[in-house]
Amino acid sequence: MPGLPLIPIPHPLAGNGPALVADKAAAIAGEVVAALCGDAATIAATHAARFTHLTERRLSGGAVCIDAVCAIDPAVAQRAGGGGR
Amino acid sequence: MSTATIKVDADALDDAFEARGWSDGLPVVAPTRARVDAMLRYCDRPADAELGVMPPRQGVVTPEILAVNAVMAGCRPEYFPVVLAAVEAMLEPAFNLFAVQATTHPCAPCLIVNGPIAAELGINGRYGAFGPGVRANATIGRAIRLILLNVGGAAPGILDRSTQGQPAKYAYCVAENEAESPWEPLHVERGFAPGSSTVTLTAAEGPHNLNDHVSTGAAGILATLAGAMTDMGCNNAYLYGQPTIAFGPEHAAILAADGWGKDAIREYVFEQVRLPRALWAQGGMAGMFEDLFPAADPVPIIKTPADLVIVVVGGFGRHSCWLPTFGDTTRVVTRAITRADGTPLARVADLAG
Repeated sequence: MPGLPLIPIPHPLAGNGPALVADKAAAIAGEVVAALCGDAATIAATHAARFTHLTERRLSGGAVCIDAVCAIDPAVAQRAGGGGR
Repeated sequence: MSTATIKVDADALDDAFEARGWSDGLPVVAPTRARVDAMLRYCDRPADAELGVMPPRQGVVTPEILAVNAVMAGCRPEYFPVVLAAVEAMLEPAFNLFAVQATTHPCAPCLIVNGPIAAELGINGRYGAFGPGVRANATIGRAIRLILLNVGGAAPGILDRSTQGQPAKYAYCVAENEAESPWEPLHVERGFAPGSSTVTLTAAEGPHNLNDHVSTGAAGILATLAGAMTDMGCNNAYLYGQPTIAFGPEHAAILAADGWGKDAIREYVFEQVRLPRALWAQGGMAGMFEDLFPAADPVPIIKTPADLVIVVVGGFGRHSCWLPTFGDTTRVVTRAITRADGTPLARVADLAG
């Protein structure tokens, strides 16, 4: 469907623990509500350039991940903090 | 998606495009009105015809926006019918482009071109076909990537979530070496007429080498490929799908000389390329998806022999390769290169009149 507002949840989810999945869901909940309940013209205008703007942000930020919630699962990160053998 | 005219100094073009994310990172050819119109001379559809929407961004696909990206990639105008047919193939639901674009897996649409148009355009199917050096392969493949980026919105880290990506995401286009194949070409196997031209799309990892320099008979070559393809790290080990073997013509000739046809090779791979269940269950994607073979030990990597795609690609030398895929959530799609009314196109030159 052309122009369908898309609210991406940071992928992947498969290796994430319940807390990180909940954080990712919470981070986009407001956008989902706005896309479902907002004024159609405003939604269309907002989403038309959404990914171009995200691309510009990513490139200006040094090609880093632009997600607010996108990380190695905290439980894994904590264990990795010990380095390795 | 609509096109717009922008004025930019030629020296600043690449910076301007890069800043907007309209590039694969390499410099692009300026898509001037004249160049786009020249590309569209090889298309008999209206420039603004809506051919579908490209996921994940749901960008509207028109011949004009495809032509803009083909110009940017460096395509000669006569390459455009191949680009158009490849895009139409990717938009077929069976290809599942949404998942191919957004997955963390490093798959890229690989184009395999068959028929007389491959020769007419000089698409390389011999030495180094998967590598650099031939404009048709490089720019048709690149055009597809630019379209996936600019129309489909598959910017890395945003809607393309591939963990590491892969070099074939820049360009991935070959012809089948039909002249040096002992077997029926891919498109004929898939139901198209021998004289027709087609493009087949598979969402694949880069080529994995199958090196056998010593075998003079089929048994050694088959043992080599079985050893290489018994791969717990590929998606096919858990999601099955349609991996491809691209035999070099020497390996293909040895197999054919010993009486091996494509169907026999498929049966061999189904029976012999299997992972011991105790190993298979230790990692990979064990438990994440339905196990199609719960009683099988060892576990096959294809659901049925027919799912193995076999082509002949390359020059002489004792190398072949295989292309693992994203899995069975995407299917291989073949599309004839045609006029707008569906009539097969004998030569692309006929379109330009």
